[in-house]
Amino acid sequence: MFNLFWQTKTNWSIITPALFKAISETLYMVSLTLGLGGLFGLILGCILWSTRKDSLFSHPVFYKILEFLVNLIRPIPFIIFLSAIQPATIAVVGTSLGTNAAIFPMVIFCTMATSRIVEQSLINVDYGIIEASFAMGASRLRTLFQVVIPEVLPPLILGYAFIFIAIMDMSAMAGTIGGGGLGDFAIQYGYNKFNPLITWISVAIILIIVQFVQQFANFLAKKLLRRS
Amino acid sequence: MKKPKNNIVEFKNVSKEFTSKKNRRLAVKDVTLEIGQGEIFGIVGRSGAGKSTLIRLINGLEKADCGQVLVAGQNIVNLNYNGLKQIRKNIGFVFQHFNLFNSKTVYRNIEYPLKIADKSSKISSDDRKSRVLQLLDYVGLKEYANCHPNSLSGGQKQRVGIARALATNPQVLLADEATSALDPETTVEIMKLLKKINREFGITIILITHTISIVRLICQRVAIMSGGEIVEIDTYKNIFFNPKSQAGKSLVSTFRILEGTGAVRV
Repeated sequence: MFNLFWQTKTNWSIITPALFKAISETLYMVSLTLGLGGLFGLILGCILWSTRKDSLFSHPVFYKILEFLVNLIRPIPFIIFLSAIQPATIAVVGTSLGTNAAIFPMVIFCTMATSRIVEQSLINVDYGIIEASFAMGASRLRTLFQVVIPEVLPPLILGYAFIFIAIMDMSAMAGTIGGGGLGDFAIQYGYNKFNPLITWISVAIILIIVQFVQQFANFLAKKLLRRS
Repeated sequence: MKKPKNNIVEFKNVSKEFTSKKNRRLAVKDVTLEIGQGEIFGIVGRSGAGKSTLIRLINGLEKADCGQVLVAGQNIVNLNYNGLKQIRKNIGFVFQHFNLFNSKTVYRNIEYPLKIADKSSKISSDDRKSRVLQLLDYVGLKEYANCHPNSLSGGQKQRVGIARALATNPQVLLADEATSALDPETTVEIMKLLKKINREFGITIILITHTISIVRLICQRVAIMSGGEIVEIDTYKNIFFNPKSQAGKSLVSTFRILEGTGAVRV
């Protein structure tokens, strides 16, 4: 049975361009999602943290509502979320198929996940430095941007590396709605055509990308930690 | 020594209560107190006596529920943010755990209050630089400008904390258990530095502590706090040799026991 797999002929003249297309699609989806979702997540996470009880802009009711919304979306399996949000995707992107159509739900999901990670990092900030900043006459916004966020930069960077892996995961599911990418490539040319070699090639490429990003994040966080 | 004529900080029947779902706690009870310009004033009391809350009322980190808190003649209780910002520029704050920004260098830590004050007073970046270097030199940390606080010793950190508090040329310096986290020798060094600052710049220093040995080093007048109230105000000598309040007697006898000159052995 296993031998059967190896007898499958791999037509490299078709596979190679498809592979490069898949890699570029994955990188496109992942980087755009990380950029947009990471930014929105940072903002949402700061809002979540600063509206907590006894925080900078304490507003428990607002916080509860926001937290409820985030918690509402986060547990939905992404592949179901993709189809659940279809009407909104059509309204915003104009179509529910293709790479761009996949990015929209990915950004939303990424925003929610990032916001939680940002909030968790900010919770660990020592209140003493916030008080010190206030005692010098700093405003709440200045305290947030110039004291609190720089202080949590190392854990934030590691948090973003974690998010990156989650986005890679999501991008693989984008294939189901015609988003392309390495996940789609692995299913189409590997799984469906009984050619595990192709699947393993995509796995290897994904591993290389993830390792590269993780190591870079570790390096950056370590560098920042050592100085602080 | 008598209290100087001009008051820099004044409390008039000030109370502050903390409420949570479970309980209410009166942290500061009807305090009336006058602190003169140029004094080194000590506030002594056990943990939870309300000392920290009391000095946080001076720069508006806590808001009084009733009464007046006057700083340089101005009631600060109902000030908005801009008003408080001006007041805070005039009040340095030194913390027990230093509260330095670990993500910034020593230089940037001291520059931070100057940057905040910048908008209103338009200090040029050159002036800012020379001010920071001058402060670093004053506290003896010139060669540490580009270090991050985590690489400094406790005493050095507190020197940075003091330099940062002095950056905007305040009239008042508040020290909240500034030496509690330090060893005895470093404590004496920091106290000497505070005394020097008081003498050379005429800055009023209000320091709170739970040990009477600290006030003995530099304070002229001392208030004893207990249960949110000021139970005794006098010169250091009178309190040390003849405490009238129960809390005062207790603090002095504890001090004697720790020094080994007390009648009781623990």
